[in-house]
Amino acid sequence: MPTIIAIIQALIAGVPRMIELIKAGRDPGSIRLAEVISTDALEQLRSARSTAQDFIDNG
Amino acid sequence: MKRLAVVIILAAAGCGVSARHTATRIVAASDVVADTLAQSWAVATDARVAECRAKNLRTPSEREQCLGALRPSETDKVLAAVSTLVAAQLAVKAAAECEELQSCAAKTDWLALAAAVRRAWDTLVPYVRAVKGL
Repeated sequence: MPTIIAIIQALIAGVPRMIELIKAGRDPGSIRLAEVISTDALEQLRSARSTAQDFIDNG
Repeated sequence: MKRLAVVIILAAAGCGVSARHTATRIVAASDVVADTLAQSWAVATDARVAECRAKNLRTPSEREQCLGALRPSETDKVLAAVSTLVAAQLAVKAAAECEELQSCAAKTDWLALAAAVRRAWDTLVPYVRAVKGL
């Protein structure tokens, strides 16, 4: 009986927190991750480098 | 004792989700920093090239000197830092995907993945500060 009460107490304390974290992090995180890897930043920097190098080489 | 074990298991499960949440959030936040830095760097480079072009400098050496902190060798350093960040971001993405597919070879160390992204992010900070002063 004390074990059952302990499980219920732990569930009451833990599950809402887990649901909150899953809602806040898991699904949006998974969706966002596909879109936010910084490859666009790399492309922009490569372009900036190319602009600078072209100016040095050709004026 | 059993009560303690149940509480620990639930807490650990909660922490696992939290660590994953931390890792995914830090990837998103670092992406914003990298994008902003790259945009600022590109805009500053274009502006500096225009200024230097107006000076009609004769030699490549003079032109490179005119570019200062925006010369290609400096941009290469930023590229290296962002490449490291991308690698750390991809590691988080791979871990998220393998968990979704339940195909992870080992338990994901979300905190280590988040720390790697954070370290890579930290290496961008000097460039973020530098580009603001350009």
